[in-house]
Formats: sequence, structure tokens, C-alpha cells
Amino acid sequence: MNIIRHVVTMEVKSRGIECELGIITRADGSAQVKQGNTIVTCGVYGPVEAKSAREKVDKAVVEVIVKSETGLPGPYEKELELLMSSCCETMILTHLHPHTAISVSIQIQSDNGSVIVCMVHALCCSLLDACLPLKTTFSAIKCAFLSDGSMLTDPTTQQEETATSQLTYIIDRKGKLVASHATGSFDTEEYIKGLSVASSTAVHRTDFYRETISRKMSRIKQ
Amino acid sequence: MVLSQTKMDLDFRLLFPEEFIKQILDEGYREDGRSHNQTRSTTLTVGSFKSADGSAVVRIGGTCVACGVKGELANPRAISPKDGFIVLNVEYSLVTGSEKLGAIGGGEKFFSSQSLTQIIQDIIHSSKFINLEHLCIEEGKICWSLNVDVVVLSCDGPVIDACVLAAVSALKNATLPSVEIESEKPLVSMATRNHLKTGQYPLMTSFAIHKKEVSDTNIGVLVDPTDDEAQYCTGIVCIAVTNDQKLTGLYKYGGPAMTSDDIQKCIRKAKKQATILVKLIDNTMK
Amino acid sequence: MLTSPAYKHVLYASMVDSKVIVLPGDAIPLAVGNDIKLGPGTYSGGGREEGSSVFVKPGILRRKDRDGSSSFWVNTQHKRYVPSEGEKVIGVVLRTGRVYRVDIGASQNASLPELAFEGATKRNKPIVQVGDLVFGSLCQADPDFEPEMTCVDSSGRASGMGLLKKPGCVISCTLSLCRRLLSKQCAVMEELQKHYKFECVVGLNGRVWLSAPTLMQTIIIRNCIKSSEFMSEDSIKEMVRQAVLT
Repeated sequence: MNIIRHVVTMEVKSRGIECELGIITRADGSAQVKQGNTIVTCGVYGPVEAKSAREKVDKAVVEVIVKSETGLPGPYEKELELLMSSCCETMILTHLHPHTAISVSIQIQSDNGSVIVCMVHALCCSLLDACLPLKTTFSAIKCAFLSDGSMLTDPTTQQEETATSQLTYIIDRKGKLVASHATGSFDTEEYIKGLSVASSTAVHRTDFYRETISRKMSRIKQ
Repeated sequence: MVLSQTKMDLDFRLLFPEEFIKQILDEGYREDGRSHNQTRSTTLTVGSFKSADGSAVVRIGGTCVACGVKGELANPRAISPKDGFIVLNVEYSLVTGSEKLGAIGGGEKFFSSQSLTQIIQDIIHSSKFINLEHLCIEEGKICWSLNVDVVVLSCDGPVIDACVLAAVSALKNATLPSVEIESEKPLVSMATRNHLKTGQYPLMTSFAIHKKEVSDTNIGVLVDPTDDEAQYCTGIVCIAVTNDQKLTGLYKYGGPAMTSDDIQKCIRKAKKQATILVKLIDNTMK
Repeated sequence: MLTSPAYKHVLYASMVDSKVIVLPGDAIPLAVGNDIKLGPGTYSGGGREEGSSVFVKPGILRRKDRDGSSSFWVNTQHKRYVPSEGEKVIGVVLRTGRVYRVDIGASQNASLPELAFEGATKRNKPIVQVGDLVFGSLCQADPDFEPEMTCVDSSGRASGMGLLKKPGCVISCTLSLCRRLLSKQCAVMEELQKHYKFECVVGLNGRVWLSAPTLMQTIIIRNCIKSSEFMSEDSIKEMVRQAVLT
């Protein structure tokens, strides 16, 4: 009933985003985001009491846990945690809640390509749902270059396997690069081309977040 | 030029480390006297561990990383019978302090050992440095499994750069005994040792980024940041470039948002630094 | 890339029932020569140039213009309570002693001195046990310090605060519902008052304490309040009417 389907209106090809807020009732903020068959659920708890060993006097501590659909957490999950926590730390105004902890759990439910993109959207939606003070909203897009030099946006797992490079950009609403995760073999022009494509989607993503929040707020009828 | 420090400077640094570094950076200097896009001297030693098949020790300023490669005979996976393995493992030595807590003698590590492992493995894999098929001895029966152990002995700055350089040099330095198959059994002849067949290799350069003024547009970039500088800067960019000047990994973690011009500046510097490191490796391997 | 005029256009384009929805990062329209007051959900880095003051929380923009000064704040839908000075909250006593420790649902437990009750002296202390409910106001809520509660007002009177000793029940709900229950024209409260006599204490930390003469009534009131959050006024009337019939 509270699902927001994002109509694909942009020229950049990407699977539509579907978002449901408040899916975890006990969390302070939560969201489930579906992009094609990639599904990620995220829960945010905070600001809660920090363990005394981790507590910081000038800002909130952000702890991120990433769980993949199967298996024990390994290096891959740790790397994603690093990427996600760096996004949280730059985007949340942590100095407004000193001595506290903000804990984020991200569960990958199914991965059919561009999983980092889906994780970023789930993270941003659940931070918005939790009403934590944020600098701006942020979004992500993944570009994959094939061996013939053509570019795919928002690739599926199958397309990722054939690609020579996979570039994921996490951008703020002005289209500037917040975080990046790029692997494979590519040159500067390809990277910059991907970044400009990513920047062009930023406006659409902001509209999507606004739609999501207005749907949430419109539930109050009085 | 090295800034001379009086007792008052040192006291100020002790009390307000962030403000101290901020003021120095705003003036266009760095604490150790480098300019903003100057790296520290890098030293590389190879083959110093005799029990390993290949080894390297890298020092970048106060950062020290050791890496050893040891080959093992193994059975290939059923799913890829033609491929051998590279098993990479990065560890922080206990000397560097606790990984998670800000223990005495070592701050909180930005990269956990597991995420370092994953990033370096990705880079080595995607640069096509070692073709796994070359590690195969007989298809579906026997292959080499290369254990690459990287140990961080001391941290003062871009640990990831040093780890990549150490792993690459150790693998280039590694020799494996030749193996023949005789009546279904492997016969290892230690006398003849061959170098691995290697392709393009990756080289990593890290940058710390910080906001210069109140406005969002001014971004300061520091090449090869020390630990203190990295703590102040919050944002890190790591760029991996192969020896033929192709990009093979670009990671950015937090910090102020960058425009494509800012990124291009970093890429150019990383490419320049890569040519310097290629020369270093070539000279050492001679 | 987004320039600021287009940006403002976006800001006012998306409206729900003529309500402006703001997102973190939206610039606050600072009119030159106007006195600006910034309330909850906004953040100012100082200075008056464009973009130095922004909204940091998502929600409905509220604006009040009075005598040439405009106030901006954001109506949000929180779940987690963040203490703020002067707010009245319901807490659970976790530990007794000279200073009680009280769970108020925030990141830290609040402290409540045992003499901060009406008429309490060193000889005549209130009888408080672990698990008791207490209604008090926050007299200290700086993020750098532990929150501190008091059950007396500035003149030393209880003025409604103190221990909630009567049999009753506590329900937890979102912070925005709590605020709405306190407003004068709250539909669900008005309707329930017509049919039942009950006591109700609303804490701004998302806790509501209820006490009605019978268990059945308590349950009905509890259910009505909890489900009223996303209902229109008419459907609340209908719901209460149905509930009374059962």
C-alpha cells in the first residue's frame, strides 16, 4: 500500500526502482528497495547508546553491517561495509548527536546485478525514514563497459560477467562524486563518461526520494 | 623545506591536532615539509625471505609492508579445471596496534584487513597480472596454488599502496620449481626454477581529500597522506593504474564530493606516480 | 547539474494537499532583509549566502511569518526520541538511589534526583521502585550531557507531574502521533471523551499512559488511539462509534 514505483522517465536506461518504507517495524527507519530482481532491505537504528569503547565525544559512531543472501560474511561484505559506512559518515551530520551510535544493517535478499546501487538507494531511503539529519540525499548508478567499448547502465549479473569494467558511482544530488567503486580495465575517458551519465540521473533520483517521502507524509490525513 | 617546530608548536599540535594540520594545509604546506602533490620516498627490497618462493618488503615513509609468496600443489576446482589459484591474505601485525580500537601506538585503521584483501584481490584479478591458466600443471588434475601473505608491519599513511606494490613485486620475484607428471604422480625438480608468466601489473596511489573552505567547491588533495593527515581529511581516493597506463581500479571513500575535474587531476597524478613505481620495480628486479 | 532557480522550482513543485515536501539538502529560501528563525529539521552553517542554511530532515515544510520575521521548521515522522529541553516525557525507573535512572527511550537514560518531586525532603522521600512509571519534564537535554528530569515546575509544584501509580497501561506510538494527541483539535481524543471517562498522560517521547475504569474500556481506547494515526477525521468518528457498540 505504501510502495513507491519510480517511473523511468530519464534517457539513461535503468530498471525501475520500487521502494517500501517502514518494512521493519522495530527499526527506527527501514526500507526495501527492488531494482529488477535485485532486492535489498535496510534497517537503521539510532541514535542509540554507544558502547563506551566505541563512543566518540564529538560525533556519532556509525556502524554498518552488510549481509549477503547466503553464507558467512567474508572480505566481500567487509569491503561493502567500508563503502557504505563512508557514505553514511559523509552524509549524516554526525556531530549533531555526539556520544551516540547509529547502527545500520543491510541485507541483500537477492542479487541480480548492480547490487551496490540498490544498497545505496535502500540506505538513503531508510536514513530518510529514520529522519536522521542528512547533508543531502544521495544515489548511485552503475555503468559497465563491454569489450567493444559500448556502455551499459544498471547491468544485470549476466551483463556484468561479459563486461570488461564495472564502474559504480555514488553521487550527491548535485551530481558530484561522493564515493566510487570501479574495477576492471578502463581508461580515464570511460570513467569520466560514466560519471557524467551518473550526474545526469541525480535530479531524477531526488524526485524519486521526494515522491517517496511525500507518500509517507500523505498517510497522515488530519 | 622542513618547518621548524618550537615547543609551543608541539604543544599546540598535541592539544589541537586537527586545527594544527588544518592551518598547515591551508597555508599550502605539509607537516613533513612536502608539497601537496609530492610523495615520500619509496624503497623496495625483493627476495629477502629465503623460505618463501618470492618476497618483497616495501617502505613508503613510515609505512612498512612485507609480502611472501609460497606455491603449493593443489587440485583444481571442478568448475574451472584449467585454472590455478591465488590465495591472498592481508594482515596487520600486532605491532601496528588494534585494528578496531584506537589503541596506543596506532589509530583506528581505515581499511580493515579483510577489505584490503578484497580490494587487492580485485585489482590483481582485473589487471590480468597473472593468468590463472598459467598456474595449471595438468588440466583437472593438478595446479599451483599461490599463497600470497601480506603483513603490514607499520602504518603511517597509504597502507593500500604499499600492500599492492609488495604483492606485485613478490609475485614478480617468485620462482616455482618445474613439475613433471610421471605415471599420474607429480615429480618436482627443485633444481630448475622458473619465474611466473606475468602480464600488466597494477600500481596504487592514494590521495586524501579535504574541504578547503566553507564552500563546497574548494577541494584540497594530498598525495601519499600520512596517518595524521588521513585522519583529518576523512576522504580517501585510491587509484590503481597498470604499467601500461590503463586504469584498473578507482575507489573513493567519503570525504567532500568531487567534480570530474577533481577526479581527472587525481588520475593524472596517479598515472605519473605509476611510471615512477614501474621504474622502481624495473631497477630492483634487474 | 542543478542550478538554484530550478532547484526552488522543484522545491515547490512537489506538494501533497498543498503541503511542501522538503528533503535534506533543500536550500531554505532566505529573503534578503527578512529576519529568519530556523526550527527543527534545519541546519545553518552560519552566514546568509545561498546554500549555507539547508533542511536536513525530510518532511512537510512549515512556515510562519510574523512581524517581518519568518520561521521555518519541518514536520517529520520520527520513531526514535531525541531529548529536547522542556519537553514532558514518560519514563520507566531502572535504578533507585540518590538519583534515579530513568529510561525515556532516548540514546541515554535520564537521571532524576529523588528530591525533584513535590514536597520531597531528605526525611520525606517519595517511594519509588524499579519499574515504576514517572512523568516529568526534561530540565537538561544537551547532547553532550546526560539528560536530566524533574517532576516539579519552577515554583516547586508538581503541576501534573510525578509517579503514575494508578493502574493503567502504556502504549508506544510515533512521536508525531504524540504531538497530535496533545493538540486542541485532536479528533480521536475528542471522540473518545464523548463516550468514556478516562485519564490520559502523553509523553513527547512516544509513550502514552492510559487509565480507564474497566479493562475493556482501556483496551478500546488503546486500540482507537493506536489505529487513528493514518485515519481521516470522519473515519476516526466512525471507528470510535463502532468501538463503543461492541
